[in-house]
Amino acid sequence: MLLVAMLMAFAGVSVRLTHLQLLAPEAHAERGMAQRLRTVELPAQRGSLFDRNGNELAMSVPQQTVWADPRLVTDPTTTAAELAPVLDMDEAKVLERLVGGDSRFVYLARQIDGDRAAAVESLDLDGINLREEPRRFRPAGDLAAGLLGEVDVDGGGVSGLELQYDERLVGEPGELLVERGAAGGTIAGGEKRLQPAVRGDDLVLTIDRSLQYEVERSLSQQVVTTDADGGMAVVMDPRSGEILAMASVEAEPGATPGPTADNATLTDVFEPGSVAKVVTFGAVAEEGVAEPDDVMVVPDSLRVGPKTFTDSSSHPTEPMTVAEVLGQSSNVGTIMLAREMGKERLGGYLGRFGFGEPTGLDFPGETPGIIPPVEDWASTSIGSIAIGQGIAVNAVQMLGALNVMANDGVRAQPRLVRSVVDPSGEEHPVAAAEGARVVSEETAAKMATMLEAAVSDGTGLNARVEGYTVAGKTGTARKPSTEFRGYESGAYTSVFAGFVPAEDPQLSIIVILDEAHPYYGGVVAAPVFAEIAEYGLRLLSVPPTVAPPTEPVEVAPSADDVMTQD
Amino acid sequence: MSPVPAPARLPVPAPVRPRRAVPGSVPEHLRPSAPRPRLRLVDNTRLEQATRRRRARRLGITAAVLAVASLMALAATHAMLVSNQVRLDALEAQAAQAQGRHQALRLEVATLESPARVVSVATERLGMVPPEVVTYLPPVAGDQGEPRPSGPTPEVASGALPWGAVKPYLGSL
Repeated sequence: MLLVAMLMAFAGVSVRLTHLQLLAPEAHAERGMAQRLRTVELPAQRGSLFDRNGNELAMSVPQQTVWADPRLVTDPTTTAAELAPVLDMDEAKVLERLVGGDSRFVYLARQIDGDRAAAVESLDLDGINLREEPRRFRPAGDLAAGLLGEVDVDGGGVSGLELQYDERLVGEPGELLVERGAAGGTIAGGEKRLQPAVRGDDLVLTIDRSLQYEVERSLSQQVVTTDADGGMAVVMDPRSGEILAMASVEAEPGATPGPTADNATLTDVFEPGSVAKVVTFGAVAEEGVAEPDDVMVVPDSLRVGPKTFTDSSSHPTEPMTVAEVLGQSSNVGTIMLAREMGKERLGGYLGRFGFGEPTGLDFPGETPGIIPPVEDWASTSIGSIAIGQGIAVNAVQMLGALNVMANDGVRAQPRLVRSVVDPSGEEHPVAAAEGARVVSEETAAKMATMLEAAVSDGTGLNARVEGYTVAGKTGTARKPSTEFRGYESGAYTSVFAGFVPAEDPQLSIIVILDEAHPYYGGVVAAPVFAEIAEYGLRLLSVPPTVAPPTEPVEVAPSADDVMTQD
Repeated sequence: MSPVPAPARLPVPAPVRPRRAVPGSVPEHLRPSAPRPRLRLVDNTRLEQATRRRRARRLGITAAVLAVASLMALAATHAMLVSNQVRLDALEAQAAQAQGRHQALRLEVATLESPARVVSVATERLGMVPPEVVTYLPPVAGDQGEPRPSGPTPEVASGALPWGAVKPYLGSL
């Protein structure tokens, strides 16, 4: 009997052995290999966003993600009860994920911090695992939030620069194919194939982190002070077109102003008002319609078609030079010059100054502005457009137009990215696009002189910066209604745009406040310009261009500090 | 002292002369003699078998020794391989951990250097305030140098590291 049993067992083993070794050896080998082989996905490190000085504005850091294999969870109820408080999740929700489906991979919590990951690991729960995933951080908090943009939980850019340069930033994930034993350890001498992940490119922006902070701070403070709905500001190097700071904030009633979700300086339009007279006067000077010293007789109202345009304050009909018309921001005088030039020529210059076309930054959601074609202009358009109403531009477009006067008549292409750093660490500068000549050097020089006078003797007095010459223009524009055709009563956009030092421009700045109180650009926007300019000039070590008004005094070294001890 | 005996002389054998063949006579060794026993092959099978067995035994022992030695070497190598693989796994995990830690520290440094945090510490913890007025110092008479603005250098003001200090870290991550 025993012999029979042994024979049968031997026969069984023989049959099995024959099957394993002779009939289907490859299938069994493959099955064994499949059990041992593990494919580990190696996520690519997303590239960082740096400011112009190498400070990280956005960076990715590996975090732990908790996932479950529900089939290996022996006691879902207990597991959920233990996990929920650690993950700060609802216990029922955790349980639902553990028992809710057939999948062998369920996310429980993604990209949690190290402490919580360690707590999960210490629970040592069956079927609960951790895996590494990169998470995007902005070390400076909400600084330049709208510009930098957001990434989703999977690391893909969804807005701002993160979206625009997503393909460059994202990198290429890698893969590790390795034979592992039952305990999870690598089988020595086993199969191992590694395709390393390639880190995405880093972008070095033109933004200066400190200046960006100061711009946001000054703007937010003024929004609070003037009870405005929001504000925007852009700082550029008018020669290179590099954008050094761009901020947009909004304020809910009674709340502290915060950054807008998108980069409103490029995605939103506003009617620029008198600040757009820079374009009108630039065209007038370039076309030889009038010289700065030409005298014209200016009434305080002027009828254009069915509409009467007036100056901001009533005045008797008086002689004014062209420079004074600009400096005092006379609507009537400006319209008189524009009519003399004609709508075709004025319309042509709007395009040449960059209105109605993209800035070239290709920023997601960027608006080209709204400039009606000349053939569609109404009989009043020559009046309204000459003074910056009836057209809409974004903040960068408006500042770009002003930069023409600061850059010898050439409109520099705005830039946000200085260079790209490849995965090996090599930096590749991004070539600046060629600027476009808009007006002659002579015209630009004349305009700079007139704009300097507009600050020193005109409506822009509050934009003066001690020790420096400032050229600029104020603007106070009525806001178009969102509900009906026409302008809202009592709603204004306050603007100031200028550059400094006037004779050798290093910085150009535009400040826009939405429904500030009071609403005059020269009263509410110009002081913010001065504050930003003062800080920026100090930051860039730009020497004063005019002698200090006070007698030399001896000061303690600490007086030179930005901050002093109270 | 006893006399040393003289060495005994050994008899020298007389040279053997070859016998001269007598014409017409048959050499002695060709002369028919008494019949000799027939030659037969000696049976050395047993001897050869014994030799073969010895060789086989020697070969077997050598092979066995070699096999055992090889197996032991193989086992030792495998043990070493496994041990090193475990060490490698541990080192790779350690490297990954260190890299993660490095990145976390970079984040911490960047966070600590952020303007909002610096201003917060300066104003709230250290009680510093922005200056009411910035005073400019005009250049001393005779000094050919350009007038300089008050305030810190850009590096100090921005709290920024030069780009060169940051760049080397980028490729290694």
